[in-house]
Amino acid sequence: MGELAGSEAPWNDAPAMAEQPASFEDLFHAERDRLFRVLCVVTGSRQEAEDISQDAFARVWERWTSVSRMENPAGYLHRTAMNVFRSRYRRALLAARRTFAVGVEEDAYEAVDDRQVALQVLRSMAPRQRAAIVLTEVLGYSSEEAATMLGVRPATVRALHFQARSTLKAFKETTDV
Amino acid sequence: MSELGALLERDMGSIRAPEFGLVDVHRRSERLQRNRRVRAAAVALAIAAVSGVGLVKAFGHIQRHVPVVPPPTGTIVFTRSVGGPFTHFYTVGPDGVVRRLIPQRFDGFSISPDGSHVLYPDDDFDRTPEILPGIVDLDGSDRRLLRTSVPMFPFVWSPDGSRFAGLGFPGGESDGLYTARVSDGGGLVHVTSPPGRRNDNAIAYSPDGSKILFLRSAKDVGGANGRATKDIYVVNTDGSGVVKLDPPDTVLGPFDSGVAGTPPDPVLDRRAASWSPDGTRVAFAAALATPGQARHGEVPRGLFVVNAEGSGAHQIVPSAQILDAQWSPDGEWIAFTEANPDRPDIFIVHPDGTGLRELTSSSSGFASWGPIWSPDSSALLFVRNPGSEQFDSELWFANVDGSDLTQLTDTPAEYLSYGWSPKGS
Repeated sequence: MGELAGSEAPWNDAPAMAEQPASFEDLFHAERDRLFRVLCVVTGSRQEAEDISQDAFARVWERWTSVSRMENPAGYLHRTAMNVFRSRYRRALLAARRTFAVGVEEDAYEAVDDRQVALQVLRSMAPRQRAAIVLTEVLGYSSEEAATMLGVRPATVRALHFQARSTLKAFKETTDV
Repeated sequence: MSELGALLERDMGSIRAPEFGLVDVHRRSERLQRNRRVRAAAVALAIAAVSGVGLVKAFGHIQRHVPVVPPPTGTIVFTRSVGGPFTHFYTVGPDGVVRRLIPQRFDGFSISPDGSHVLYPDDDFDRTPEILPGIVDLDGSDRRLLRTSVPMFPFVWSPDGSRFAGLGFPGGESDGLYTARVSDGGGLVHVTSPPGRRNDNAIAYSPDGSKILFLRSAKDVGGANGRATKDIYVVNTDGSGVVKLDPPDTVLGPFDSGVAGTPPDPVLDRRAASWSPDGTRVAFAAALATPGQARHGEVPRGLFVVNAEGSGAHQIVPSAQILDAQWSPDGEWIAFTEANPDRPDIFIVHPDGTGLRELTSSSSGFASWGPIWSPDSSALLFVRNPGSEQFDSELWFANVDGSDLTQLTDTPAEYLSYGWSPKGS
């Protein structure tokens, strides 16, 4: 399973942005909040989300000359962010799990209330499961594209999809939301 | 967009916006570039060094099945990282051949009592979306998952090899220790229920299999927190009789602490305590401090022995910067790492506090830490590092009298977890 970050290949088949950013600053201001919130959902940690967001933006900035010529710089940003997440997640498993606790401190989910059914559904999932869901449901990637970003099989992403939707349905039925 | 997607979009809007700006991104970029330069310099130095000793020899060393000095007895199992996201299980047996078994993303594992199998947490995402206990034979064959009804992060085998203990994650949230059968993952028993947002970590079953020694977060941490401090407990395997062993005003960890002289990677917390072989006592290393003091400052850390029912906790050597406590299988010695004044060294002492002996000397330029015993108590295995680089350590062993200090591995790396199987003796 190769690392994707750092690849110079354009990410042409990613969902198109509404408007091509003229500069890195434009991309940053257009994507910062959304990317951060997506990563909050994936990692469950504001600190992790901020670290990954900054890493991803920094890597895009370093390659801006070529990224700016891509059809969809935001797609490249998402892909880079998922690569950083993958690398950090594995590294964190090695480093943090050696101290035996599993999972990061999930402060991003602390303020979730009863009405936020989608976040409640995702909260019960592992970070990589959440990543599969937000890539497909929020960022609009296909199962195949999400699978490539996460280094798993498309069938795995589709199974996670099905599982999340089933959980949502059951959750709504039992909580009458 | 589907209903789930629409709900997610709506819910995500409630997440408070981030506070970093462009200037933070630019600083991050500078840091990334600096790190790359350091790595490139290290690689260049390594290449130069390799060239100096000859390319043939160098290429020989990076092959998988290269003989190294064999351990004096049994087989060593270890994981190591050279800086990438992946690691593997490796073994070195009597033939001195390093064998790479299976990819491994976690570094914790437990060797079965007969030395034939390794229990480990398996999170191969294409096999299971959750963490499940995995077992693999010592030769890398017969890798299998135990599909427990509750996802489990496995820690230790029972002494008869029939069960194991681990942290359970029903619904994705850890809720204490469970035990299950090794044969099929069935027969689940919920053993501990930590209060609040704390985590439990099983260190070992008692030698008779009736109790489990475990660590519990001293304060609410809500998940992984390498800076968390812990207390040490025992519990009967049916969940009854939870007893805290460390005295008031002491705490274990943190295990990635910046204690003076400790290596850049942590001394593993599961080495912080161990049973006496007769199961009547426990040895542990603890800070004489509150959790806050232990997390944020350099505090004295002592080596304690306590009766297994919780009475009679006392230090057996003067307080220092003691980081772990490993009772020898024959009951004669307790091995530990002492970190001060500058770099860690390995010591052994009789359980009554007599016979203190320094096994390694950092005056040689090497830091040494994290001792574990050979199954026959004749030797110790530990990590040594010639400097302060994280990925520059090797595994070494020495006889209990300090003789025959020998380098086992030949790949500078971060040696994360290691165990000593009697198999192959």
